[in-house]
Amino acid sequence: MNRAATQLAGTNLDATAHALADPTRRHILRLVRDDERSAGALASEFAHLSRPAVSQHLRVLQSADLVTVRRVGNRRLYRVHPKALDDLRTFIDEMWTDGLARLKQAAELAERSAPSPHRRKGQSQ
Amino acid sequence: MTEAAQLTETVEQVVHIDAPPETVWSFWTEPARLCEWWGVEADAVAETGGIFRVVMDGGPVMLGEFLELEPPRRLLFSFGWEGGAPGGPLPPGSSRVEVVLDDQAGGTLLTLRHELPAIHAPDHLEGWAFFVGDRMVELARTTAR
Repeated sequence: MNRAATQLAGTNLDATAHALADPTRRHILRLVRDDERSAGALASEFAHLSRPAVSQHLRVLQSADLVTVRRVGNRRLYRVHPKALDDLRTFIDEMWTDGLARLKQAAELAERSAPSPHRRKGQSQ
Repeated sequence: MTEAAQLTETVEQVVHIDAPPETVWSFWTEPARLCEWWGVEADAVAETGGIFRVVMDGGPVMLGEFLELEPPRRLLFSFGWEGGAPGGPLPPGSSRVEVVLDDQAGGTLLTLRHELPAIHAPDHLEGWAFFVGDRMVELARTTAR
């Protein structure tokens, strides 16, 4: 755990929670899940919202690291940021690798010093 | 199960331990033993719905709940980070860990599967947002105040 714990990614739960708490922003995430879309193209999906309002939603998603933005000329192209989950998977993977190695060590040590106390309890050896 | 699998990704690890399943089981369910390998402080009420809380060295707190217990063969618990997010967003209740202990020639073959909410695979985003959504909406409301 130590190694993994020291690599805490900077993802902010509050920012992620806030970003996901809005149905418009969840809809935007679905729209940019498979393809990059420009701010303009996204704004046209939301007839009831002004373009500045859509831009504001995009900024919230961007600051929560849920989307990436790429500038092409004067256009800004948005896309879902998959790194968040990759970071999480790597973190969890390392956490369990480290943890299970220590579990193995601790359980084997316990077994050597006091063979199967729990088995004895249940099975009256 | 198939449906759940479509909404999640799984981290799987297998390890052989030279101790019987009964002993390995106690290292998952007894606070003192949890502190020998996983954390520096632990609460574990090993019954369905019982709290499972482990304070890691360095501060992060795993907060979960025992969901299914079949001693000493299988354990299922929910897993999340209390108040913070090491590695990424994973609030309490948002992921599940299954631990299977198979008796293997006097030792134990431990298989751990940690189901993570998926976000980047096609069709997974909605599931992920749904999966953590309620919890996050609630959190967003409380932190917004």
